[in-house]
This record gives sequence, C-alpha cells and structure tokens, in this order.
Amino acid sequence: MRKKKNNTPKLNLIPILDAIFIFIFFLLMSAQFIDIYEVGSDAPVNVTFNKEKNEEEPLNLKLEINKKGITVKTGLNGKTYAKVKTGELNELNKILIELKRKHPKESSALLVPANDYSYQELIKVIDHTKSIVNSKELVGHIDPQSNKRTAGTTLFENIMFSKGM
Amino acid sequence: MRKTFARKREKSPGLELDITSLLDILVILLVFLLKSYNASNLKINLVDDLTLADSSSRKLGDHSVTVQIDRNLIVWIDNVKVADMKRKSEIAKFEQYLREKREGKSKETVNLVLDKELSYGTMSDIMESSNRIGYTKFKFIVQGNY
Repeated sequence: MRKKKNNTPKLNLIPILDAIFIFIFFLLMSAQFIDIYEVGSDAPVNVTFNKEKNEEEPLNLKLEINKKGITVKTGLNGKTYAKVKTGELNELNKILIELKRKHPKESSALLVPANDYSYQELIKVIDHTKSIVNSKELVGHIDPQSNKRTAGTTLFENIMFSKGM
Repeated sequence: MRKTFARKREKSPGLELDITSLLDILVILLVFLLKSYNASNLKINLVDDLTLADSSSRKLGDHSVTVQIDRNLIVWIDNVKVADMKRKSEIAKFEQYLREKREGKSKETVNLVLDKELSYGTMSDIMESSNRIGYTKFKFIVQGNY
C-alpha cells in the first residue's frame, strides 16, 4: 500500500517581508530623533493695567524674573504676592496653583524677564506657569465667555512678554 | 507489452533560508519607529551651533515661517542665513527679509528656534522686529526632554 505523504503547507513570508521593509523605510524618512514641541506666546506688550473698576478685581498676574529670583505680583497696583528664589520652580508652581484656584477665570500671565536672563531658564519658567508640573493635582478653569467649568492641569496658558528690566 | 517505469528523479531540496532572526530585527525596528513617529507636520532642519531648549511642553508644532538663531547670534529664516545679530545695523536686513516672506500671507505665526544659551534680550529684539512686520503669535520650538 502506498503511503500518502502529508504535505504541510509552507507559509511564504516573502511578500510580508517586502511590505515591512518598505514600511520601515517610510518610517525612517519621517522619524525625528529629537522630539520637537512648541511653547506658544503673544507679541511683547507694553505694561498696562486695567484700571476700570469691575465688580471682580482682575488678577493682572505679573512675574518679574531675574537671576536673583522671581517676584509674583498681582492686582491693579502690582502688589507683591510672593517671591521665589532662582531654581525653586516647584515653589513657583505651587503659588500659581493657589492663585489659579482663587481666580479660575484668569488664564493670562505677563512675564517681565531681565534682558540677561537665560532663554533655557525662561522656558522652564514658562512651563511652570502654563501648567502643573511634577504633580498629580488638578485645578478648575472657568471659561469667562461660556462659564463652562473644566478640571485639568492648565494654569495660565496665555503668556505675554514685556520689555526686559 | 512491457511496462516501463520511469524512475522518478528525486527533486533536490531547494536552498532553505531561515529568516527568523531577520524577522526579529525587523519587528523590533518597526516597533521603535512606530514609537518615534511624530504626527506633527513641522519639520525643522536645525542649523549648526544651535541646541534646542528643554521643555515639558508636549504640544505639537505646526508649519510656519521659521526663524533660527544660533549661539553665535546668526539669524536664519527658513534655513537661509540672513543677519548677524551682533551688529545692530543688520536688524533692518532681518526685518526686510521677513517682510518679503510675509507678503501676501495672512498667517501671523512665526516659529522661533533659539539656542538655549541665548538671553531674553536677544529673544525680545527678534520678537519686537517680527511684531513690526505683522507677526503677533510666536511659537518657541523646544525639545521634550523632561
């Protein structure tokens, strides 16, 4: 009796390999080995305070930044709210979280750095002003137009610069 | 009638290629590339002598006019060398070039790529000059390192 050979079908991987190979070339061409992101800002402004008397006093958050530290000022008169030493950005973040909780409708901050202040350090200050860093806390934000309340990690997203000190 | 039985020639086994290792490498490479794929349409060719600042921002950039300033204060607009910020007289050259770039375009955004060692004074000068041309929104291009 003739034995029938059981021919197991062999999988042809060549087309799959071709597809993966082409795919890899596409991804290699589009790969960026530095992760690039953006930090947004508006044009530099002259320092002005809103002197109109509203029911609710505007926050007018202003950060004066130099090599010695950061002075946080608020209110129509630019009253000093807090001072933070250079490098204590987590402390600055906590102060801004506190301010955001008291003024959930506010989302702007005016930065006044010294002309010789380092750009890298300034970016770190902006990061700590725009959102909660190194913490799992959340803050509420109220949209001033729709009055819609949301919770998130955003603090003062609209950063403006003033001419350096 | 004599039956002749033609002897079946045994087929010589073809060359068998074991591609398991190759597949392993390709799968790992594929996973790595998928992980590093960036959905942003912003592509920047960084000039020499420019190191991006580190940031915790994770907002993806968008294509726009790109102004690069390296640590020697040389200004490049869309990878074309335009001015040397060490000479105050060359700010006019920078503004003129930027004005030509702006002509006929409504977009008010400019991507600023500054070397991390520069000072705020340089940044402020560039922003003021750009603002005079009509750019009111600035995107600082940074690298996500922390």
